Amino acid sequence: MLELVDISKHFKKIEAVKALNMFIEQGEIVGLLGPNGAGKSTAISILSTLIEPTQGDVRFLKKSVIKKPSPLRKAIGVVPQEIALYPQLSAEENLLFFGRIYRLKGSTLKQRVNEILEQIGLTEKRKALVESFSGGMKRRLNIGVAMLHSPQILIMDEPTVGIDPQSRSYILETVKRLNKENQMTVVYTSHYMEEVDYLCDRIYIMDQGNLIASGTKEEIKQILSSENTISIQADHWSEAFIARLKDHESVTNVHVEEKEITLITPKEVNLFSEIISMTDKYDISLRSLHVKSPTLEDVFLHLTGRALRD
Amino acid sequence: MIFQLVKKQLLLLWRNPVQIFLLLGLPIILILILSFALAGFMESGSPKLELKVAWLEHEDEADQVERFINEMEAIGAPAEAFGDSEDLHMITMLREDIFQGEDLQEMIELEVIQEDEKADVLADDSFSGLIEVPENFTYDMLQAISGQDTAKPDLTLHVNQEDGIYSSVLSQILEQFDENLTTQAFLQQNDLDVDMNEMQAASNVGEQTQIEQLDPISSRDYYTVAMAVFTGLYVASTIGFFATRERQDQVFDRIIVGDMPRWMYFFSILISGMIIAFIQLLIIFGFSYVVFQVTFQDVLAFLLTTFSYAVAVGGITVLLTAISYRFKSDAIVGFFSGVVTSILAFIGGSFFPIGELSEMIQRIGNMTPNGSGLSAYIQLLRGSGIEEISNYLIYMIGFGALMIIVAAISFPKRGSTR
Repeated sequence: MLELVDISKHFKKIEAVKALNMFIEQGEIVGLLGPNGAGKSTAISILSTLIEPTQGDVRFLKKSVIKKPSPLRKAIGVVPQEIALYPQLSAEENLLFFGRIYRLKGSTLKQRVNEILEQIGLTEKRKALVESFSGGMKRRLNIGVAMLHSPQILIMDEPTVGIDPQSRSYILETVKRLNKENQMTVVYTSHYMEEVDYLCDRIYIMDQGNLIASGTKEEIKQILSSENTISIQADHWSEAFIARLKDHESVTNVHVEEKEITLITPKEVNLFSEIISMTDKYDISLRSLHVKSPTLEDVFLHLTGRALRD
Repeated sequence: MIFQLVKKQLLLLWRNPVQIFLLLGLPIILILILSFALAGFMESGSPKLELKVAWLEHEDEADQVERFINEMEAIGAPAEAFGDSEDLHMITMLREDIFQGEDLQEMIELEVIQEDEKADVLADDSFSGLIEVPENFTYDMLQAISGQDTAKPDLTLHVNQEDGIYSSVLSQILEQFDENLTTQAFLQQNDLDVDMNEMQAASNVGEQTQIEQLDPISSRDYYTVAMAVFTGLYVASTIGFFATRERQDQVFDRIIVGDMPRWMYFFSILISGMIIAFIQLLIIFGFSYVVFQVTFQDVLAFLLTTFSYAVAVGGITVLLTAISYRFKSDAIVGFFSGVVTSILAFIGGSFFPIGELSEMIQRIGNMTPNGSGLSAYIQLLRGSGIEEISNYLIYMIGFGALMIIVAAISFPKRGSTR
């Protein structure tokens, strides 16, 4: 349905996206995962025809849309990372304005505005100015505007940034429902692994402009099938202990957080007894030590040596 | 579709009280303050002369004239030789036709006094002068004019030295009168038949022409126009600011992804700037019409001037927006609003009539859109017609067109504007 073929994008000396290949089939939710600066937003801008790639092609229904973007533009709804709304207008006025931009008119427009307000739970706030909304309400309206013209493909660029857990959950449920009930195709970018894990059928993982992995969730997690993810929890760490782990020949990755260290090791190696003796030696009061199922976060850690939110 | 974009801009402005104040409240307050504060500065036209003059005749003129005619008739001169006896009453003519005549009556307050009042008048500083007609003045003067061997008498003028220019004016009037009498006496003595009026006309050098003067304008007239064109420039930064926000908040991207051609957005900014500037000017001039009776007689010329200025403002608006989009920065809008507007207002004469300093400065001022607009409006207020201001209108429209062309070249044709 929609393809990015060998897409590269340079901004002066910076290569934001390098030889990216993606395809999106009708009715699926595709996740684009990566840390800040990975090139996700550039890829999304190319996908939504806002910027042209330096190299490569964007194809919609097998036709290039780089020079003639109109067919794709009519088929997509874009939820930008920013709250792309007019704060001084009400929710209804924003929807009416953007509805007219999407060429909706008269009773059709009014009906769609009512439906969208219902879907995003803002019917009672329709007359309120957007500037009076909470962050979550603005995010919901931001999504609602993109859905006004019932697009075939909904492209969402980090739609849950900076909102409360309740609104975040509401948005995720809305996306899931749209996909199930309306068979709407969704491209969803995030640096929240758990959102992508929850929503998406297939995932593309990007880092520093490169596509480093792609496939279904299961396929991606299979990358770690020959490895174990070991979680060590304690109240504090010592520099020497961390250095010792990083230098260990059987440890491929070490990710340190305040009270948890995650190690990736080959499955055939058992480091449990060695870790326990190291905690004694460096005077670390161990709280737990266990092997856990690999997550997308672990895959990213394995592939890049860094956590998604580093 | 452009209509929807323009309507949205108007709605955004309507919901923005700070910008509304800047565009409407500020000019009205400035007009009120400046027109009152600088009223004296603007209305200091030609100084008004007011003289108080005393007039003292020591002898009744009618008796002297009668005596002269009787003596002339006694020596056989025909009665018709004296013409109209009214013409012989030269002192009465001087008093009634000149000092109390139509030309000088608003300037000179003449008080006829008696001899016993003379000392008081001379001591009174409120009098600029005292004209004293001695005994037998008219009789002696008629004798001199008629060729008798009599010395020409003189009027006595007492002037108040403290009054400077007033006493000088008084002296000149009397000198002129005396000169006429002397000339007349000379012509009579030499038996020359010359018409005095013709001789005076011949002595004038060059041609006397009437200069058509434009109506003066008040400080309220001036500052209504000056503040209207000055704050009209803020329309450009206001709409430019809105457009910049649309770029920063990705609303512009959203509009483009909605398959809206960029040129349509571009023209919506231009039209918004023009419409808002036009409405703003109408409101400000409407206020001044109601409150200060600042009235344009030629309504069509006024509307054309307003339209032309709105085109120039629209051009600046779209140029600011284009540059802001091109460089992905709102600095240009802030710079225009904070610095350029004030400079244009200064050069264009919005703070004071800077063009009066020199012709060169006036020319430079008229090269700014606000200066050109100001000159056009002022000329209309002073009674000029559309033909006299057409060069200003053409300049403003040309300026706007140039801005639009540069903006169209600068506006990003593709790519994200973030």
